[in-house]
Amino acid sequence: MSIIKKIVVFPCLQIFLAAALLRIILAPFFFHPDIKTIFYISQFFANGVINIYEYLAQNPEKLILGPFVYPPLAYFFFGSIFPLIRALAGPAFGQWLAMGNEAVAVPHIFRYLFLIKLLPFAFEFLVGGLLVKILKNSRERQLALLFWFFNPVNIYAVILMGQFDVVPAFFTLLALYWAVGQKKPLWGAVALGIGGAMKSYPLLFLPFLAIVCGRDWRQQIKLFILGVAPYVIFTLPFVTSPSFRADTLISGLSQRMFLLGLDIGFGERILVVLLALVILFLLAAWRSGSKQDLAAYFLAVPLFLLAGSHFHPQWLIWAMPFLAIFIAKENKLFLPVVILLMGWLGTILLFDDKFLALGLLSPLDPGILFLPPLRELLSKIFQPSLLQSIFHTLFSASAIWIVCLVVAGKQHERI
Amino acid sequence: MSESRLPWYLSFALGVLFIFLSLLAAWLGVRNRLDTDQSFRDAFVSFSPGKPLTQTFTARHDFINIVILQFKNPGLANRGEFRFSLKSEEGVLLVERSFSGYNIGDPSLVRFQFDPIPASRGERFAIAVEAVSLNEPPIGVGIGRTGGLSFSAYYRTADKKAGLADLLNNLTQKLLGDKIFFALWALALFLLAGQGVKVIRRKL
Repeated sequence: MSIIKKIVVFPCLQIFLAAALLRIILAPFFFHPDIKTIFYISQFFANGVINIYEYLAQNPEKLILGPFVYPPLAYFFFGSIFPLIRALAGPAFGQWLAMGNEAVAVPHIFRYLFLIKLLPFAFEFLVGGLLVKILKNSRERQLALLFWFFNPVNIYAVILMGQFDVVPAFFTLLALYWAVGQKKPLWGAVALGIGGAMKSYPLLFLPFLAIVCGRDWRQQIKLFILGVAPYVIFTLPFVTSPSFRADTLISGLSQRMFLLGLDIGFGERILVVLLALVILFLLAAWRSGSKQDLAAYFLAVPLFLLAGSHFHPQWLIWAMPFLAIFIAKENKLFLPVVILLMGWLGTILLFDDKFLALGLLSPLDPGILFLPPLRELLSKIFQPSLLQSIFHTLFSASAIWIVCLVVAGKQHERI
Repeated sequence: MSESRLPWYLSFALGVLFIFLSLLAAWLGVRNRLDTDQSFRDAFVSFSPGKPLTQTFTARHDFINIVILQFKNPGLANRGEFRFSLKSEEGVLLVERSFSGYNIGDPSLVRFQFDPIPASRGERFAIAVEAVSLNEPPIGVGIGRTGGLSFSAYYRTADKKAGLADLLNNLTQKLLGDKIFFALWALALFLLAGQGVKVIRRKL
């Protein structure tokens, strides 16, 4: 079949095209500084800088937008595509990247915002392609794709903010596809390792893949080692760098997942998120051999993480590909997912960060940056911390309920 | 509803809704709009006491009330005193503000807000910034390609109707200011939207 014919008969083509339209409409007009910071730092790779952590530490005048807090593969990845983006963006692109977070009034801002979001969009569509391959039922495919491309989390975190969490999310879904669909758990483990070398959270999925897909304890260990290998290969050369250790190894995630604890006295705490993950792992070990469970665990891990931590808005992307699979298969998940998303949205809009709410609109009108954060505006009516806590509790409750359904409830039997 | 129409309805609806609500929020919420932007910064240059750095601009609107400059205070070391001034073309001092190195990050934008200047449209103004304190670590101020200060100036919107006109006008000018991108973007929109309309109409 020719390539044109393959594209024309591609299942759910209309969903992909409609999703592309929405992204083209919105991408140029919304801005969050994080992706600009990543591109600013990644340009040094094109200039031959390999150890970005030490480079920024030794050249503090370049540290104008903050350190690079991701593992090295993210730097190499963005650094590799930087020349192409710069060629398309024009000669002033580098200057814009070096400007502050409020540099939205510059000429060509719409072009810049569109171009720097192309990479996350590409991976969104790759995830869509994987969903088509994973779900064989036509109706399930359509539901999953509609959910994936048009849910509030993707719209907010990928289209409006341009966050790159969809890239490691792709690798986690790829791991599922290879491990379960293609019966190639070794490749699945490697995919998790590559995802982990870009953002460390996929490594938390690795014990579950190893325990579920490994035939015996030897293969389970082998899967774990192979999965960790890409992460080790990419990070080992930098481990001796103090800046790398400070900025990346002790990341936002690793700090936050250990914050929720039950005080048992004498300086000890039971770390709740870790407790939940270990119990989940033991359940997976108890039920090992049932590969169909793996999607449930891959969904449960990020939901537990977010339920028990002060998350960044884009972290929910980690769960969305798997949520798309389950919501396509079970309508009864609709209500808990709606509550989950309401809780997520309420929590993030009340962050004390203008760029998470009205600041996103600043390319449309730079004057919007003078407005206080939504939290401050609402403080006249309601206590923002309490309101945010209510939303986060809604989120956590529905997250835990969804995990129960997909891992231990009737939903598990239907997968 | 046919499944192939639903994604298109979602796309059109969400696209229009987001843009509309965003413009509505900007129109209703924003009081100070961009008048002049020369914020492209080429470099930071140090400036010394007794040697002010200046920049002139011609205001495009009445009620100019904010000027934003770019500074860099390496290591937040400088804690000296500085002076910002805004003068008319005739040299009349209109605004003077003192500020401190404590207000300056590494880097940061510093905002100087003052009472709106009525009848500023078409008038030429001179911005000046100078260091007052001696013996402080150097501080940098952003300059553009032409060597003048990098800055943005804002004006207070007079009323809602004028604000809406300004908002839409500024947006249109910015879009049309990048003709190549606008043409390609509009083409992609047209092709995809056309496909969507075709699918929707086919099923109706």
